[in-house]
Amino acid sequence: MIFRTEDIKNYITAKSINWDKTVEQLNAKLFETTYNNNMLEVDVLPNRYSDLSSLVGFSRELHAVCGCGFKEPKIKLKESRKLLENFMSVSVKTPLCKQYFGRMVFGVKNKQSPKWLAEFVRAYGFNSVNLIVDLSNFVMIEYGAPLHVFDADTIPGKKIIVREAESDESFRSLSDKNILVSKGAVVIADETEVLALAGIQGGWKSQTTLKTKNIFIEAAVFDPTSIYRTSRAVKLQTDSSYRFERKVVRENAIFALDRLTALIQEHAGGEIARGKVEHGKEQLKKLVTVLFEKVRSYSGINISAQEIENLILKTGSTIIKKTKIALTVVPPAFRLDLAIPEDFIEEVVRLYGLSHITSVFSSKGMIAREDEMFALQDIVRSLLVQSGCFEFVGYSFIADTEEKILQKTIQDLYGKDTEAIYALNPMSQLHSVYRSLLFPTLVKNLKENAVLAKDLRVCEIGNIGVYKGNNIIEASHAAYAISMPRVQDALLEGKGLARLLFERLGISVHIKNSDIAGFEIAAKMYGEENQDFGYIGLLEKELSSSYDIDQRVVVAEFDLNEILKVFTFDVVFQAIPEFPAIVRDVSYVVQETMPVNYIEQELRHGGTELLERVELVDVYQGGEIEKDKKSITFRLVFRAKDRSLKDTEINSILQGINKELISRYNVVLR
Amino acid sequence: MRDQLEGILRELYEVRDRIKNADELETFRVKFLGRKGILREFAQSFKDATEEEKRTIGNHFNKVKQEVEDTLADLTEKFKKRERVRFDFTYPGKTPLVGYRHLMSLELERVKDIFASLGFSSYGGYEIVTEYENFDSLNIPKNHPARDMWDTLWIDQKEKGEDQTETEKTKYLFRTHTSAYQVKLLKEQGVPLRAIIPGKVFRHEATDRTHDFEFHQIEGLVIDEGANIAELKYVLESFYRAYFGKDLKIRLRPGYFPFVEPGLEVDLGCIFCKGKGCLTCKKTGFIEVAGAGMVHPSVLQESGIDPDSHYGYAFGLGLGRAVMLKYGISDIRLLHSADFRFIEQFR
Repeated sequence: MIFRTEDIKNYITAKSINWDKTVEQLNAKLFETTYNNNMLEVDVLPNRYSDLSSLVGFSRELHAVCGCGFKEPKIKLKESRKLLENFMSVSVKTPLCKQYFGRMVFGVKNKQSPKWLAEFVRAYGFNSVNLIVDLSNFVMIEYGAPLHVFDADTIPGKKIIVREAESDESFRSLSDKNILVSKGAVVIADETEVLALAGIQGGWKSQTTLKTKNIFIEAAVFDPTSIYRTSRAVKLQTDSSYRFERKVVRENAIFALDRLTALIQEHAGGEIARGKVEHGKEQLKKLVTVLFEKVRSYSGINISAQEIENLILKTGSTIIKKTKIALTVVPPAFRLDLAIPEDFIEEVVRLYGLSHITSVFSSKGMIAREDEMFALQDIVRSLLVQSGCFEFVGYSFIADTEEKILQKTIQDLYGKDTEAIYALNPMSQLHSVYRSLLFPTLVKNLKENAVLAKDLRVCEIGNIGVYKGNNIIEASHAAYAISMPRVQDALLEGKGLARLLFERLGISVHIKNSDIAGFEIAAKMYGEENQDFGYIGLLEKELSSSYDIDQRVVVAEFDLNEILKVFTFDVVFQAIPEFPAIVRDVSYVVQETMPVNYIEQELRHGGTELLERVELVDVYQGGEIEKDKKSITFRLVFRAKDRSLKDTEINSILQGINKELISRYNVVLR
Repeated sequence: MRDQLEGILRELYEVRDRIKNADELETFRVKFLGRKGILREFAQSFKDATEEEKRTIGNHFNKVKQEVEDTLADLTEKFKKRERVRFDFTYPGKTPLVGYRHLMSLELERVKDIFASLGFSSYGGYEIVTEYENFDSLNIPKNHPARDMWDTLWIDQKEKGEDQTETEKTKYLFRTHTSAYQVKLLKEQGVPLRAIIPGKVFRHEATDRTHDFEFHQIEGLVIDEGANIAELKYVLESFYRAYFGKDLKIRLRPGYFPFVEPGLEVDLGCIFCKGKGCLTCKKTGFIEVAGAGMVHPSVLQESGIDPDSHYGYAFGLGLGRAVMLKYGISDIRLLHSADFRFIEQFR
């Protein structure tokens, strides 16, 4: 809200004001305020708009903050003998109109506004229309209550009806537009048609012109929610609707009506009808109990009861009861925001001065603990970064064109009933879909760095989300992408990192080859109870080249929510073994296509509890090995907890294993 | 002749200790064992001796010769060992594979650590929340102008829940503030509570150098006896002092957020000019860094906590702004950079 300082002078008693100092005070005790070229700009927030967005209200507050004295305009009104009720009747047919007031003036002489008035309305952002319209805007700025003036002669039947709109009603607005009014919106109508969209804009037909002689002046209080909804539905926001949305004070409407009536008589002449239209009851004033101790404990200020009382009085409130521990307060009519004790604590604290609060740690304090998900993320992040990954923190959104490519991929990974989550009002097409997977952002960003290195590893930890049927699922994921000149290297490194990750987490997984759209080859990783922990795979060449990457890319992604369910933060210390181990290397020639973990499982199974570790140390093809075959070498470490092992024991274990391998898989010993 | 042999032995002992390198050792070898060396010369003179002399002196001669050869072998071994491995330490060497954490994840950890030292536990929360969590539960009702304070990024729910009417439907959105987790967290954890909620938030806002539609926020929420405005000031002051490593001041101003009462704006003494006024603080000496206030009783009520017996404070600060100030980064969009040359600068 912008005020001219010359206007404020009419509502305060102080002869002059040092605006620079005052602005400092306003900043510290009210809202953000700036002062430039005799204009005061106050950032009035929604809770105080109803009382601060007017010259009267702002000057009143100015007095509370810096004691410059406050004076209200004097309203002198001369009514004639003509009774209003003989000329106009108003019936209010909707509870969305809380209050409705009206006055009539006969025989006015409307004309162009004098210079001071035209300049005034322009300074506050209105066009100067004519004397009557400009005066009503003047009074709105003065009291903060919107007013509307009807040309009374355009209302047939001399009857105004305030009602909710039926469906398919339209009216011609003041700005000469045909507006289709939504059902349930509040309208001001005569017996045949809509005259004005209540609280938002007047109509073409009943507007005041230079020919207007007899007028009906309306002041009202409409339901804020209704105005908010209607103004957005018809896409029409006016100064008036803005005010009604933020509540209009009943008393301000009453004062404004009389003030405008008096000003019109003063400047345009005419006779004021006796009496006025009055609908809606006065709201009961709520009593609020303010406990002195609560003010102190909330603020940390050691403030006396007397001081609290003085500051509350500054807000214009009335104190109706005072005890040793509390005040019973009635907020002033114009302060709709003061309703609970905390509101009064705010008033006391700001008027006392927030700068007087010294920083003190005053509560008992607690011991901090870390969220388990954050802790797991930290472990995974450290491991990936230690393994050479550059960490990214990407945007959570991807382009819809990217999502279309990934549609089948997410269905293969999360199930057929999976869909991506779209933003209803995206900032741009580039960021219009919430990520359902982390890898696309990683791969996209690999490109940026491809000129800098050939051996690229990147990772990210972030949230993803999808629709599963009608439900939204959001989960924390970790992913990495590895790109190297040789595909086999990237696959080996990628798989090795996944194995290391699960080893560090102490979680056993099994791997299952899977067909996943977008991947040339891929496998999924499952927990002991078949929990879906994630996947690893080689992106199809077409997909990685769609991101402009020439090298092949291996990606792996992990569902940290699933992993957290089985992960345990406790570490169980294992004593360092006392007895020596026996290490044996065993080599077998098998079919090239046979997965090595078939043999590994057999080794673990036959190795008894003495087998401490199995490690694949070599895979060899070519040379003396037949075509279509490969030679695989495992290193076996045997150890007993309570004694030194004998070679003969191990020999017999190995014999048993070999016999089993030969019969089951037809392996050849080397 | 015997004396002659004794002399050779004495000479050997004398020379032996003075040999310092392989070259001198070679001179030694030539002198004693060369074709015209001392031992060969002695053997020549020895040729004309009697059989008796040959037997006794021969024995002696062999011992001396053995001694010389042993000395030579020992010294050869010694100087061989002294030959060092060659390496040019001005070579760059082979770089081990190292990764780097992203700036934002580093700073988030710092923030969590500082708040942990002030007794704050950290909690995650979801990025996708309901309209109720983001607004209604925080005293921001539907069709209320206060909602306009946040430009919301909504989720497209077309074709979803078609069997429900528009009012029954749970509406989802991308959280506009980490406050969206306040009520849920209070319900989950109960009181007393001393928590921060760090995370991404989203706004339907055009981006420029100082605005991004997606950014990091740190929510603070404390419900505890004595948790008042004075402590709020202490906590924020301590946080910013620790984060910037400077003796900074906090200024509180009245503000308005529907979920706090009193509502406060938090300004930080400019980290560059210490309040004198510069370009960064637009000559005011202060930089706006957070919104805060005492938790509104209606929020406590919504969380199932009795507002007559409990109170506390909440704050929301922008992490991106602090990071930019700390490192002198002038474009907020850089905080999402995936450029290795950006990432590897921070540690």
